[in-house]
Amino acid sequence: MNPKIYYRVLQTDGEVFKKLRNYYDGFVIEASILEQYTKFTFSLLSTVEKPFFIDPTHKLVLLTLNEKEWAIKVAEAFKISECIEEGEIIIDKLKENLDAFVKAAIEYQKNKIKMSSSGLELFGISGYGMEPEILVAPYLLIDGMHSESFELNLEMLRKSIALKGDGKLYAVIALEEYLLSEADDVISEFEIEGVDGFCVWVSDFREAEEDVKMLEKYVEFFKKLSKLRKPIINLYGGAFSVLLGKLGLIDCVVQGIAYGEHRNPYISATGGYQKRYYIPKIHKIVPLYRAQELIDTVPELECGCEFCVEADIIMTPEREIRTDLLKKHYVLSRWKEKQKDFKELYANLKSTIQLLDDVFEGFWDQVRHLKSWEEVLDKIVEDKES
Amino acid sequence: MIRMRESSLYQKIFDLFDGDYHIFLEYRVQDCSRREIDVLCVQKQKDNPEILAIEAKISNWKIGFRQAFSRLFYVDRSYIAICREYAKKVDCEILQKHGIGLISVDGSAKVIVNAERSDRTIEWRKEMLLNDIMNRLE
Repeated sequence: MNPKIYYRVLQTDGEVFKKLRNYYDGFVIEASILEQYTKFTFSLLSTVEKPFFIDPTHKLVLLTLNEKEWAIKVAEAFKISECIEEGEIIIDKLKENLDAFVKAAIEYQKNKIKMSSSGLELFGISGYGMEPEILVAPYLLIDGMHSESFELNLEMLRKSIALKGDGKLYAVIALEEYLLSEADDVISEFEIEGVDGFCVWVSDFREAEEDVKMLEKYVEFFKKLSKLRKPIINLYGGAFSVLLGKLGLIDCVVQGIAYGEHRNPYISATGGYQKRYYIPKIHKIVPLYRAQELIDTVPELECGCEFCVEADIIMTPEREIRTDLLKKHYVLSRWKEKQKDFKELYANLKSTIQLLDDVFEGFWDQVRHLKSWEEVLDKIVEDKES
Repeated sequence: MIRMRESSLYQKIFDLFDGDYHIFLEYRVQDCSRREIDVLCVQKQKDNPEILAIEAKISNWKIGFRQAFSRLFYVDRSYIAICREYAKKVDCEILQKHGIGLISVDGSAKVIVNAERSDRTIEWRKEMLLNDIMNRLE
């Protein structure tokens, strides 16, 4: 089984998406991006013709909204402007307004892209047929088993089911990491008729940094969820999720290009872009300067893809390396991971660990995650074989 | 108890290399790594001067080792400097395997293990350091 690879759309990634259209399966469009860059998004979708769905509330999960232009637009589109006071969504007001909010969020997903084509018909461009692959129920971050946000999520989910029509409706299980321990209880609450699939977001879960225990809980969560036999989308995942996908636990992995393999809702992204590079053999994005050092030390880590050859990663000063080449390399690398079967990736992982052990003797933090992954995957493989 | 700081070792390291080298303390590398080299020594000769990096640590040689390792990509030779009472705990084999030198600091600083010439130096990084240093010296 190969999980699908979807990318979050950023306005700066349009050219990469267009040039590498054969190396991913679809898009996730955040409502905030869609509101800010409507024409760009429409143009991208109409050019690339890939499946997509809209993530309606990922910026609202903490019931806060800043004063930025997109926030005002999203609030208007979702009919919650009246619920906002000093940048916070007042929960009592939201509850009073819940029907209208859920309806607006679902209608928005159904119609926003289609409506974006208005005026472009003259040029032969139409939004007809550009419908999201799935509808996503609006959601908040679940911060406790008996929390208000949990209750509200379930209520919004039920209301969304009633509005889905012919579309497929996915529930979002967005939860604090510690709630992975409560997998059975969380999942049973989401076992609701009319839900066609699940999107999962474990807050700030960093696959390449978590210890073995947390990784095991993560795997266990997906195992239990997959028993419901509905498609599962991991909204923020990396190579470890791709591996789990190959074991049948995740159907689609979403990330941004060289970012967004995890997301902490409490931290807003700030400016200041640091060039980063994905090292395929260690399945990790690292700062470019660090990647240069790792590859210089262990030449076997060098990637021979056309973009890396053009960028000449080691010999070129960091500032001179083009960002688009780094992004294209990332997209291509993730696609290659998808194409390989589990056994091959698993064997490669083990040989990379051996190789790095010989060189670093455990001194390099950047590669420790491989051992944690190996330990967790070993157990899964053993369980499967027994 | 007053905790000793790494910077308390700087003067003795300075004295060890003073004369043949221009010495910069807490030198900030001018790239995106934001790294700071505790003591950077640049040979006074004009043609292809040798650059040394020294990472000072009171006791924790393992952290010093990681830092010294990353300096191998910028300079010609990389050292850890550590208080003499902790120098015995350092695994010199690992240091030697990677060509990192060891300086013991007590009443004075003394080279215990000579650093090998780094075969990991990325030439454009060394050039970047040299250009910056030459600008500062002008």
